[in-house]
Amino acid sequence: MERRERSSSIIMLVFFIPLIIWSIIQFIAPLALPANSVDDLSGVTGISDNKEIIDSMPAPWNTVYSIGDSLCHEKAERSFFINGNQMPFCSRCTAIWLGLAIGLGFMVFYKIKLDEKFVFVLIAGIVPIGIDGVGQLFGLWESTNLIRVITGIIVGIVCGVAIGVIIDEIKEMIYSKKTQSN
Amino acid sequence: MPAVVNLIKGRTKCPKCRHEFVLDISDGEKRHEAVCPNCNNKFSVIVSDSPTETEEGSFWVEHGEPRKTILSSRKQKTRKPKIAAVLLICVFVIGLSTAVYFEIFIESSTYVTSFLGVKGTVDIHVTDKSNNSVYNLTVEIEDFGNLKKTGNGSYVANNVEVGIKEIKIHAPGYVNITQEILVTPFFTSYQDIKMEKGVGSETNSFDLTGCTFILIIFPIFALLAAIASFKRVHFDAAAICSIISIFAFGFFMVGSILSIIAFVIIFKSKEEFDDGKKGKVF
Repeated sequence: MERRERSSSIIMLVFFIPLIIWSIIQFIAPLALPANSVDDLSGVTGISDNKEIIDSMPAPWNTVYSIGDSLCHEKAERSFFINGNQMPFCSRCTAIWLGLAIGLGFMVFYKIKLDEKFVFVLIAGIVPIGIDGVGQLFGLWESTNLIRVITGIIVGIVCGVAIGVIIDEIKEMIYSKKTQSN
Repeated sequence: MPAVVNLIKGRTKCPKCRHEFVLDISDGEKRHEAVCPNCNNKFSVIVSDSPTETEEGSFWVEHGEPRKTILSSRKQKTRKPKIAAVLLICVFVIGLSTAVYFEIFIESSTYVTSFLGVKGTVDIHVTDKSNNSVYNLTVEIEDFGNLKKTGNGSYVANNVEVGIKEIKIHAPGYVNITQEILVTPFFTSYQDIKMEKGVGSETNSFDLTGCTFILIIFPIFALLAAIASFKRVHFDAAAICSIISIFAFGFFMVGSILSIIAFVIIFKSKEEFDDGKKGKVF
């Protein structure tokens, strides 16, 4: 791990800024809606099962909730409430989004090389969410929102860093190809 | 063609113990770091036509005929790692699509597993809202029939086709329940059901899968493996990431199959990777 040069931070900022804005919007959305207007969005993933509620929301909050509706089960008991409104993603997904932003934010300042050590750190990062998720999936235990946030933020950070590493590697490959052709 | 390295034999003297010994130096080398075999003293040998001992290092005199050391050549590069990289990029795309269209993925995967004749076990535990037993209960599962009572509100069925199945529960004086359950191979699918007194019916969709957003993790591993393969660096990283990308699944397990193929290709071309561990670096 080494400090990143300022010139190579720009491309990382291009990915980081939209991601951090997206993460912050998820917290602003329930605040922007009338209090206690979104009380239960529980449903199934992959299906838009809260269309009526979401259609009645003003833009851009309807878009935020619509994305949450299709990517997340949005179970009320597994979600946080702000201003009496359920957040657009469950606690684990919210933590993953936030972790992704933190991970990419870290990559704005630091550079990590793709090697075996990094892959092992990445694997170590997904182990907690794997144990918690699989245990819950097979009915061995019911997780808590705190555990969901902790495991989600860990996996989000390592994946955010991994996305940063991928961006660096692709950039390097394009640069070396251009140098070769010149 | 094998790589040829010219080595020139010469003799030198250790400045510490004055032990004289023979030393091989590459052709054209001007300065060589030597270790005395007698006292383990490390010292510099200056290669010069006029052998004189200086403060900078010891002298070296050519001694005998030059000889050649033959090393095996580096393995010729093939397209294999690049093919693996392309396959892993496909896994990445399929994995991301799966994360968005997860319901279709579950149905398609279980359909294939079911077609292969893989069966699962279902264990349903039924009580009323106060955790008391419900009598005269009928528990029926789709494409199988009635479940066998094993005592204390538990109903079990073995050899059930895998996939999302409907369970219908009827009891006089209670609301009828239709519950969807995912029957999986290798693990018993467990469902706890609480019955409510009254009339009518209630339908609960299968919703144990959690959030599909989590599935973006595995395609990231596929992309990392693709980059390592494309650059032919870090064999271990490429191999591990391609194994983990098997969990990207994808429609009809295409992602998993492609990941396995990519892993085999990476493993077979490991000597083309420049990581100094599994590959050859000279």
